[in-house]
Amino acid sequence: MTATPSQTPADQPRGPAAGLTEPAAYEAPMPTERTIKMRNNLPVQAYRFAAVSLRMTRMILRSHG
Amino acid sequence: MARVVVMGAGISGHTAALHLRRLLDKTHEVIVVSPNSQWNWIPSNIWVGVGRMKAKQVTFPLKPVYDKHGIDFRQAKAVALHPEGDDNTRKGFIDVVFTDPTRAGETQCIEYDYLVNATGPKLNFGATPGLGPDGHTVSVCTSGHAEQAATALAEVIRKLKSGTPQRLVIGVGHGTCTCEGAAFEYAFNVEHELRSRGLRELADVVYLSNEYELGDFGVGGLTFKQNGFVTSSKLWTESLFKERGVKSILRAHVQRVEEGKLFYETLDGSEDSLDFDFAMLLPPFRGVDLQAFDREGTEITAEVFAPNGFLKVDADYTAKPMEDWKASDWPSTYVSPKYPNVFGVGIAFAPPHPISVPRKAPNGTVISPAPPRTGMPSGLMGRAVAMSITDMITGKAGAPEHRASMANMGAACVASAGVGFTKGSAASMTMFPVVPDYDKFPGYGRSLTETTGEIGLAGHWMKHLLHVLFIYKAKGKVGWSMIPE
Repeated sequence: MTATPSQTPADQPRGPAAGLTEPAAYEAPMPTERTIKMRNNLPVQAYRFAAVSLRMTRMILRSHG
Repeated sequence: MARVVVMGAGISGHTAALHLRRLLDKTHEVIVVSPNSQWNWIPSNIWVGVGRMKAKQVTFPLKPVYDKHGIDFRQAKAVALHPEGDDNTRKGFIDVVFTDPTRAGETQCIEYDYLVNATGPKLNFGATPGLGPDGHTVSVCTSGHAEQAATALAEVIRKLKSGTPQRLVIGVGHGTCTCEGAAFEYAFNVEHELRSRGLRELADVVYLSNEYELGDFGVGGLTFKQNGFVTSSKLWTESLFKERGVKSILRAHVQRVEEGKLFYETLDGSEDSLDFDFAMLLPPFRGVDLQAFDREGTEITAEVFAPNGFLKVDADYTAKPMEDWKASDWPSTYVSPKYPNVFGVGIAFAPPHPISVPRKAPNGTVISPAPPRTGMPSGLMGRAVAMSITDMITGKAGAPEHRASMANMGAACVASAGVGFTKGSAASMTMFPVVPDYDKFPGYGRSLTETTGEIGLAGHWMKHLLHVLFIYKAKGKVGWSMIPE
């Protein structure tokens, strides 16, 4: 079956392509609005940047033997 | 006086060359042979591919850097390896064909005492008919490809603005591809671009991959601690797909691509096709076309290189079931088992086996990711080999002693999911080790404290910082060697 993006359903019936997963079908939970906001909150992300930097530095140093 | 020849000037070859020059005194020669005149920070090609950067921001000319450091640069493509020499010389040598416009087509034999093969991959678009910039899809593998992708994406955006729905398929173009992380990055950068322009509703974004599950990334997925739970990269990645409304087709092998339509099969044996208006599909990799010959001129390519064209090194290539895979199968010194003065680093070495679970469709088609060899491991390999060669040249060691096994090193992967100093986002992941070691880390194969993942603006800042730092380092500027690989 071929799904055609540029045609309307009236032009050609559309069915799901083999193996296609729609976003609603993912089992994973949706992040809350607060979680999404925190991902771009400047003070929170400044703190996370420091934390991620430290974590990466530790891992890099360990990898450099 | 010794001569070290480095074939390739990507992350591993360039790192090896700079360290060799730093470590060896000037009585020794370091020669770099690369068909490309430019160095490319490949991770930032993603941003070129969405039009947020120009190619010149992710590349720079190699020759001035090598001139400054006293490295002999020859813009040429290596075509043959003679590790035993020939009738005229007992030294190993390589045959090269110049790609330098001023000497284009000229050939040369370059003798060596030590050879580092860092040729990277051959972008094997030919494995899937119709795949690639010469076919019907775009790529972000090189800065030039990424610029073409940006042009094609701009056209899609123009059509969306005029109200025409568009389908964008982003992923990998063959069942044996690697670099799923790059495809993931590009998918979410494109999604971010469409969303930020208010065009997302008209766009159908589909991620197509050979991964068994989302979050596999060619490393069999990650497991890490988060909010008091041990969670998986599958859950974490799926959550992002759900939040951003990105569809997926997994466990897929693209059979062929025609204008606006791709044909694929999946692991369960289904076959289907999918129309598209824009497709960025990465190609599978194989070793570059390099033949090897013994002293008599008999071809020994199959002895020196694996069937996929990558150089055999000190790995355990014994065919064995996945249950018997060991961390110790992976190479650590990257020396050729046949020639002790020949090394293979970065993507050029032949991995002993995949990291993800190998799988085949009922008809035998392999649909599972090949192991990725990203920037940090490639740089570490280049550095370790440079140190080993230095020790052997200066008489400190008789054999390579510096090790950089992917089973004993971590990797940091910052996958951009959108740009902008305040609006950007990225998935920051660390894993240790890259190759799971179930003896050392029972249960999950990796350290749960060193394997982490989080999404947010901080990751975007980190990716931008890495962009600046690694281009600075690659330019060999003051203090470059203090910046870790």
